Amino acid sequence: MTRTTVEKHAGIDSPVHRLDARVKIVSLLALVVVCVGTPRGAYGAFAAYFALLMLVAAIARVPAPYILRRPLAIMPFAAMTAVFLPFMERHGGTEVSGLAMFGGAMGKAYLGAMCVILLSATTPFAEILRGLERLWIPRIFTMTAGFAYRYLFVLRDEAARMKRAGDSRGYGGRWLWQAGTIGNMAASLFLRGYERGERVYLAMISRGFIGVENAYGPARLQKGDYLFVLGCAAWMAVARGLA
Amino acid sequence: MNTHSVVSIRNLTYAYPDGTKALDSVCLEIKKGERLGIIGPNGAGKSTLLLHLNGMIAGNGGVIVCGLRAEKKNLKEIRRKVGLVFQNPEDQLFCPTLFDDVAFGPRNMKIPESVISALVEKSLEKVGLAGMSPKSAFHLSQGQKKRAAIATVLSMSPELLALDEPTSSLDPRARNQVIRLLEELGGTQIIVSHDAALLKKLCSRVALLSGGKITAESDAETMLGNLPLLEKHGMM
Repeated sequence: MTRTTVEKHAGIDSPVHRLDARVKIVSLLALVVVCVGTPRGAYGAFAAYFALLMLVAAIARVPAPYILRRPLAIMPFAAMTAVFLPFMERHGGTEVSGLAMFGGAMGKAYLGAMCVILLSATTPFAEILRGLERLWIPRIFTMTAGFAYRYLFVLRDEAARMKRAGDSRGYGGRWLWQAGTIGNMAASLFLRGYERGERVYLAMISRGFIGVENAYGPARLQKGDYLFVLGCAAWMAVARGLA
Repeated sequence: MNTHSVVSIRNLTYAYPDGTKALDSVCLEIKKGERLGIIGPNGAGKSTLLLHLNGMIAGNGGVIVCGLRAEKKNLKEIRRKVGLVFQNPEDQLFCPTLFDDVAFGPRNMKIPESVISALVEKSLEKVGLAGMSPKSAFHLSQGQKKRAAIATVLSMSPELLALDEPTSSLDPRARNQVIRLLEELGGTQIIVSHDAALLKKLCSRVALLSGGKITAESDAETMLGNLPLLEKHGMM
């Protein structure tokens, strides 16, 4: 995965991409919450949430396969947690099979991941951060997230170069006794990251940085932004009503 | 101190916390509008010297920059007046977009947002990156990154540009672009570099820093032509 693939669709020009990041964050977060709160058996409601996401993706001209396939990446992690559900003690005498519980949790995880993927496919990362700041998320969090995103791929490239340097000297890294080398590589990556952190901090204070504070004032929402929030809310209300 | 000096360093000595001496009685004057080159072998203390210019580190001795002594109460003003450009642009471009990177200094200076966007565009235009502000540094070429790093300090209208290896790891074309840019920008500059062509073209004076001491100082041609001297200090 490269940064280019993460932001592949964020640069498209569409009505959804032009929306204020705040309304997309709030609407999609609301959908996650509503989805989690919907009873497991309400298939109609889940179908409606799914349809809403696909509709927004279609308006945004984000290819359907992308929206459908991308969330699969997190499913193994969701499965690792959900796999214990069938074996847990059930309270309140609910007559649901363990498998149905597992399926329900996985379905909700999938829809939740779709929301995140849709947000990142319709909003450049910098816009998401700015939107969060305007939603009164403390700047220290958005700044940290910004650094993580900025240097994640730099670090990934560094790791790839290190591996290549090892491989070109005959290191395959396939055997258990080679694990020590991987440990050394991880340690030196950590140290390099740490040193880079120091240098970045120097670069920050030499441009007068003294501490974080919220810098951006609120920006006005447009008519389309309100329409989007209201539309999503109405859709969710109707879908939830169906359940 | 000479009134025309932008930088005046007297007997500056600095040792790392572990006791290693990095700078040893360094004296240096830079006049207004002058470009001073600094050469020296690896580990000679060149970058450490640059870090003294805006009070990032403080050694023993006097450092006066733009008429201000590099000490705590002047740090804010000094950091506005000294534009320090680090060797690795990856360290200097840490924001999600180029705009935020170039706006970082002005925002810290509490310049109103309404003025900042014009300032950012102007700075990017000066380094030949007009219209690139929504991009992330991640998407730039190495040469563009180097120039973008220069833009991040131009937006603070510095009185002194201090550059650490501005042409390192660049291909010839990108390198020439940076040299031309520094020539156009003018003003007072202090350039740490191993790039002989850059030093000859831009710097009226070159100082050789070796083992934490300024061991020689002359015009660029003389310095770079003094092969025995360069060889003695591991520069050949």
